Amino acid sequence: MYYPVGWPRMLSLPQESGTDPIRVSANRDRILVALLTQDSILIWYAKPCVPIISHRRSPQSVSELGTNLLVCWRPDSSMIAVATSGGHIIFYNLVVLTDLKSLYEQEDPTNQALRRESAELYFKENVPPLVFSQAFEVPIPGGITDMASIRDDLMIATEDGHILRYLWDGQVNRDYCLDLRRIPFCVDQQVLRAVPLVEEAHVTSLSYSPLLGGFAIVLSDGRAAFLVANTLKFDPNSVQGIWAGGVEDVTCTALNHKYRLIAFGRQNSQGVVFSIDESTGGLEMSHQLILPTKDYPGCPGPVTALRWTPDSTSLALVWAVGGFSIWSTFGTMIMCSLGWDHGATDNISKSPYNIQDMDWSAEGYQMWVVNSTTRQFTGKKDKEFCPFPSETEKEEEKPDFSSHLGDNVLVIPFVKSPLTVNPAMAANDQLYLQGEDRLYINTGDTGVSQKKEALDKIGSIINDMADGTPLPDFNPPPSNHQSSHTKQWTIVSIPHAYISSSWPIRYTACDSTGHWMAVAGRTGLAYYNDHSKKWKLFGNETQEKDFIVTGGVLWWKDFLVIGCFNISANRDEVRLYPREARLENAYCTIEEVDAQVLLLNRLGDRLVVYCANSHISLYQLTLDESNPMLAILSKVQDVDASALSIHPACVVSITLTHLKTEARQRSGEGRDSTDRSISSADDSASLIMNVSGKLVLIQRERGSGDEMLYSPPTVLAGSCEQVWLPATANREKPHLTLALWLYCGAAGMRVWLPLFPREGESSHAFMARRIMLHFPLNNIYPLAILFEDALMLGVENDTQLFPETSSSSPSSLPFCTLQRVSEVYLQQLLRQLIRRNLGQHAWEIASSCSKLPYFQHSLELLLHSVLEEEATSKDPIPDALLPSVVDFIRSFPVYRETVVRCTRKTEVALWPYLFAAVGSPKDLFSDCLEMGELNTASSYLLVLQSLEPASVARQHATQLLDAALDSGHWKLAKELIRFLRAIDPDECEELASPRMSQILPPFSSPVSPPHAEVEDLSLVLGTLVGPRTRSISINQPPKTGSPPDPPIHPTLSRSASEKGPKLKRMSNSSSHNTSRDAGTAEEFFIDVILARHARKLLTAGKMADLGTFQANLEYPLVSWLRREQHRAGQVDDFVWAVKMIHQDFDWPWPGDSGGRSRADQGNALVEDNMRQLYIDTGVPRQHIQMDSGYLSQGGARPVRQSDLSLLSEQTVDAMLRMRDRPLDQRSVRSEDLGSVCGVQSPTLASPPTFPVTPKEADPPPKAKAKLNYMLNLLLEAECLEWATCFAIILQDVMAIIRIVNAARSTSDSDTVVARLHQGFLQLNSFASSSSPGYRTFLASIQPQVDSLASLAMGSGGEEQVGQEMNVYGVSTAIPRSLSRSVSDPG
Amino acid sequence: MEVVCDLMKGPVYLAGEEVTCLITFSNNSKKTLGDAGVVLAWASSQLNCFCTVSDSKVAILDKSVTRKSSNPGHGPQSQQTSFQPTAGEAGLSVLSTPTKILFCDLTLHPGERRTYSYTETVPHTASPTYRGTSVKYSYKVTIGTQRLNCQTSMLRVPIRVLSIAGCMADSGPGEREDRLGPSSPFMEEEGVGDSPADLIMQAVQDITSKRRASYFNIANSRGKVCKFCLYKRSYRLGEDIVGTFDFTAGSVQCVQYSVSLQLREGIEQEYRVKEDQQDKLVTHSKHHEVCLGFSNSHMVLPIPLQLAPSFSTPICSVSYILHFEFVTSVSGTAKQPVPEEEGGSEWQGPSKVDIETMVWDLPITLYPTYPNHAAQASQLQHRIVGPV
Repeated sequence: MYYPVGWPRMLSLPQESGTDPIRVSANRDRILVALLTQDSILIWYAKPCVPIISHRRSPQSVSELGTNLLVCWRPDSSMIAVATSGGHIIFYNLVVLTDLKSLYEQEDPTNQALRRESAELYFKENVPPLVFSQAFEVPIPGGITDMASIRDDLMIATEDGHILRYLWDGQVNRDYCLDLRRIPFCVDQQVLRAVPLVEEAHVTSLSYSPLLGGFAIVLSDGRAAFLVANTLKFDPNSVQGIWAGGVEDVTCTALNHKYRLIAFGRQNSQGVVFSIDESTGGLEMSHQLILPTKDYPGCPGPVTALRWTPDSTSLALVWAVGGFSIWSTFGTMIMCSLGWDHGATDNISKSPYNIQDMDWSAEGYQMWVVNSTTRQFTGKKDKEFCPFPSETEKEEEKPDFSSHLGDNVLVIPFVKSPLTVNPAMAANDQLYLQGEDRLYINTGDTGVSQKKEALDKIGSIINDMADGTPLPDFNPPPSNHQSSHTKQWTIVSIPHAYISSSWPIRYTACDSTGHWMAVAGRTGLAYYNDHSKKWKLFGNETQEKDFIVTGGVLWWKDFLVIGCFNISANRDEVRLYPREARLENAYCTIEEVDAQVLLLNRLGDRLVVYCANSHISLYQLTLDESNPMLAILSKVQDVDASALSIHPACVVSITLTHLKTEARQRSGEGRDSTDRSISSADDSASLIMNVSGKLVLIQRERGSGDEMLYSPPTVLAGSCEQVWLPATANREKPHLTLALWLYCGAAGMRVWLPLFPREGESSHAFMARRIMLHFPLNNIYPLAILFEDALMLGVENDTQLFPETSSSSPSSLPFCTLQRVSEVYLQQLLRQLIRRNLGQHAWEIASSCSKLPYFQHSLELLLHSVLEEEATSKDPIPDALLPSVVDFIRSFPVYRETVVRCTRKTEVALWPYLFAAVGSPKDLFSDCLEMGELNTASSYLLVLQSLEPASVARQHATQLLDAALDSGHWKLAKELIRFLRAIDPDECEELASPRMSQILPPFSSPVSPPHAEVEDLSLVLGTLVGPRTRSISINQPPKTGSPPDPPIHPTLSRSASEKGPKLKRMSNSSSHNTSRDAGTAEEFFIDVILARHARKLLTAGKMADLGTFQANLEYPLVSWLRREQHRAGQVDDFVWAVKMIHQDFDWPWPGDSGGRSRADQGNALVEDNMRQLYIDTGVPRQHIQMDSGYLSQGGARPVRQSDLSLLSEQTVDAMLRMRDRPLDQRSVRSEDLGSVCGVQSPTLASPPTFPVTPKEADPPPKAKAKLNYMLNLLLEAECLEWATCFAIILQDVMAIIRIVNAARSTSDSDTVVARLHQGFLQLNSFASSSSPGYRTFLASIQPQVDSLASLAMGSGGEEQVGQEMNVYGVSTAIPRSLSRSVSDPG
Repeated sequence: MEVVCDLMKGPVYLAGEEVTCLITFSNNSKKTLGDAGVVLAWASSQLNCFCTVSDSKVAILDKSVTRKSSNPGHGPQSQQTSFQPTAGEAGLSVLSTPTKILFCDLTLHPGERRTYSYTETVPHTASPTYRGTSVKYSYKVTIGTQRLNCQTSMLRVPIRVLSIAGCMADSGPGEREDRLGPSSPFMEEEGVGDSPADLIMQAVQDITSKRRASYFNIANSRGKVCKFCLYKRSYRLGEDIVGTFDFTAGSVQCVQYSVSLQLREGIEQEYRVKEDQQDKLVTHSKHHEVCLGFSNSHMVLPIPLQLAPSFSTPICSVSYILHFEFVTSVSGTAKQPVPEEEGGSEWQGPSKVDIETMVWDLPITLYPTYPNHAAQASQLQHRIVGPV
């Protein structure tokens, strides 16, 4: 396939005040290009691209004979004919001067410094010194409309309805001239009904193909026909016309020799392609070339020219308005310049490509085009052919936009797929393209196999590491789109030493590993090793020049196999060059063949050679055991296949295969061709040939004797462009790796799939063992198929705009680049199988692929496509596919996820249809809950919200919230709380259905990221449900008795933050005073659920979980704990609690020896601190009550006290010193405060209270922060018993002092103090018995314990409490906004 | 006994990125009853960068360590028990990360295996892997293992390092703190932070994606030859260098031109062997075109992925230039005028063209590409297996 690349180059014609170029035409071997201007003809050499000669007519001659119009090469390139507008033909004879070797011989100056340096500047290519030896002109009666050469004659269509036949010497060949009026025309070759033309018409376009055996003609009235004759000579009496039916607006024609197709361009900007029906001889429409509206939504005017590439695999088509396009043989559009991004001036009428004529030069690597300034068509003239009005119509006054590249000849560079010339490369899954001097290789993995391998590897390693060594965080290689491989091509330049003498490259071959590349140009060959990055060329240049590769190149083991023509010996050969040896004929194995090799292919060690004499030869390749550099070719068989094809050139590809019409049981008898079993298997290999697009299978079967015979050919498919066969069968995926793949252009992809009878089931006679499935392909032209990955790869053009240098230079055009595209085809196969009631086979295929990363996605695509199709169908569908598809997907564990993802991407209007098939979303939701698929369940919640009344949604959300809390899905829980709060209580009673479609828009993105579910909720809430939340806060503020709203979290969406402040104010006033029954039911529910969960965690002693719960859900833990302080917040067993904390926070037990030394050091400090800070120990209860509203909100910021106190300046110093001591390990915070407030208390600079001795294992700093945080929370909430446990673990004397003081000042201090004292006693005994690490610490707080003991009898410290109250009174008065500004310094 | 090293992110790394490998020790001997198993005394890992210089081109005082010969050590055969990753390696170890001990005293019974992970950051300032003519920098992860009563065995895992001058990966963490702000210690920090590799590549993208067309009027003593336009001067490895030529702007006819991407390896003054030591130039990619017949043309020059990015070390500097050679016609070829005689006129390309060649250099800078791209061109293995 052909893709333009880069920019075009612009020719500079060696003429002064030259006239406009008109036509361009390459000669037969496409090395010379004739360029016609209005008054001259120039012959150019294609590479190096230089003008050779030019003949320019004088102004008199131009006025006499008219301007130049058409040009036609004689097939042997010895003559050229130019038709003029005045009805003359000028014949030019071309000869090569013999006394001159080459033109443009470059002579370096004598000055050494000005000589050429690099080797490539001394080019070896000889520019042939052509001269026009003779020129004569012949008048043609009737005026000329078109010319075509047929063998040694020139056919000239005239305006008076004749097709004249001239000899190249200018003599008219009267006996063979045709008169249109005497030719009978009919729809097929049944002469009886043929009638001559009655209307006055003449031929406007003429094209001849010897392989089709006739002329395609376009008549002046827009009809088109094909002229055939019984005789090769085209005897006028036997000539007959066959109409191309159904078209009457034909503008031009082009013939495809290899595939035997006749293409016509039409006025309506479409193309139509006909083939010859072999039975009737009539023209049968093969396909149409219709510009897809997604590429260009309009009508670019009539088709003005069509040209097939030299290898007949692509067709270039241009329109009158501008732009060009490339189509594959059977009608897939490969590229279209109309869809390019031209930047700001993106307007078709300004399209710089305004191509008048074009032709392909050497091997199709270049398209020469004549670009014209004035447009032939602007869309104004033929409105009836333009279904879409173009923009130019609005400005009718304006003249046509001219092309700014106008009246120039451009050479557009192209690259092509190796499949176009070397079909044997279809066996490789490497994607590469060949350009005229370089190869473009896309070694980038599709990501599939690579990732799979990586995961497998990790999996196996994890199993090994069961001993608990922590695994490093393994992130698979980054796969963000920037680093994706799709645009990254490795470019291998073909060395100048080879390309300079062997341009253009004809064949390229890549081995199965992708590391060895071979190229073959005009003569010889060269190959490249990717490892060494080196090319290997012939050491002996004569040997290189001595043969021409004619039949393709392929790799076999360490050998390069070629079919070639030996020039010196004048014979055709198959050669094998060992790749490890020097590239020299001395090492090569040569096998002579009878005729020119046209195609090569191999299967295992079996080589098939197709020759120009239509013989198919099979060879066995073996290695010489004594010499690994030597291979032996032994001929196994030779078959004459001339009956299969009209002409050997029509054979597109030949493939050896083990496929049979009947798939054998998967146990595999040699089908799974491993190298060992090949010798026996090869004998039974069948042949698959593509003859002009018709794919035939010739099986090899055991005859009556024991010999292998070919059975009659079976036609598998028509219109086939490309065939792929898996190289090796994979027992795990037998279906995918034993299938035959055919690409049929516009007809899409065909798969010839094996159907294996089920185990133990006697195979039914009714069922064919193979089935041909076909499905359309819309977005990709496949170049390679990765069978096991269920993926196909293709290439697409992309364009880049570079800053314009000048509008008249080609660099103002978009710069063409290439990118790889891939498509999963699994769902297409499954759908086709399910449609045919072959669900069991579909299931087998799907199960074999369930490990692919996009497996779930392909099921989703399957469901989606069927749903869209059937739900939007206007007519009732008799046998709807949806139920069976749903049943099918249900058999996979990703069923529920698939359904909901598909739902989310479908319009709401189609949901009822879907759920009619899959069942109630409520049930699916419950299933998800049951299976623990919480994220999937949350997606169902959104569906429920749209389909069901709000109360139902709420009920389900509550269930899900419970589950989410239990499993610690915090994000989800948080979103669910928001979701529940967002449900308007008034709507609970309403039916949700009327609003349905507004709630959820169809999700058009085809792929959602794998973890989108949670975000989905906020997405929906944030943008669409948001307004409803706002209405709550605005309209009904007193009604909501919501608990204090969490502070604004950075990730909250805007709608949430808007409602935030309002709710907060309410909550401050109402949270504790308003009785619960005033609150709405759902708020109550949420509270109940959350409180229940918190209680569960607390009673289980899971403090770490509680902290996570609080942090993630911003739960007002302090106020809750305060309520629970005498219930769940009590600790009965202090030892158990301490153990739980150690376990939960992964906190190391204090070491014995280390602990002692530390305690010694610590003791002094502790005492210091106590002396310093004793004043502050009383914490008044009242204060906490008042502060609680804030505290609960300040969850995200643990330094509440210090924050507040910092702001009231008088108290700052004192407060900081005491409170920050224990907290000062939290370095982030203290730095933060210091930098913001500019207050640096001197104590902050002192070393931490308990410097950790290096001997002891460092406690994890993170855990320490958490413990401190919990301790502070508990202190605030006066959950003294838990606080004690934390304080002990943290060995925080200050906290103990606070606790003791707090206990003293509580209302029922007696019980509290008694319980605490009891706890200390428990811990003491525990420490002395089993945890000596705590002994020293407990000893250091003995005074406090003692005071508790004494307090159990009396009380004291009243005065201190009063003092403290004032301090806190100040801090609580600080407005909320101020404190916020401190906490968010940014 | 066998030791296997798996490079988790492939064999190519950016300087500043972490190298993580999983090292598996396995006892592959057949299971026999009563086998005591193999005791490994210890295993340690280290990342080293070796610099090898050519004596004839670089003057280094301590010649003994930089020659191709082995580093002195006690010789690989001696019964040493210490971990000396540089022993037996050619070149001077210019970078050695702290040795990390994987384990001590490990017993593996037949069929058992054990996997350890080893992570090391390649320093930001590290020079890239480079194989020049006078200087070579190569990186290896060395895993040393000692079996009880046996000599130390080394497994060397070559990696390729790409580095960029003035790496700015440090800016990352600071930003993150600002963004998240202080919060409850129970909030799990999400792994959203960009990895060092991402940050480096972002910086590279910023530099290399800027297009600023530079125009050059190419002229010689006879006049102007053409106008050359280059769209940018900084490229990532693997990119195409795209430039356009406008010959209509010239008065001197250009017959052909060639553009090559050349690596220039210069030795710093104090390490030069000779005073006037020339920089070494190596051509890596070439675009040649006969442009005589064109009025406008362009070049697309691929940058091979295996090149080292532009860099400099105290010893040498590696930079890149586009080397142009323009072959111009001295006299120019005659153009065909409108013919005056009735038979028209014939024009033929000249059989001889007197030419002059002139050259021009344009410096460009090469930056690293994504390591997984660069890995495509590298022949280094993801997995290295060695005996113990």
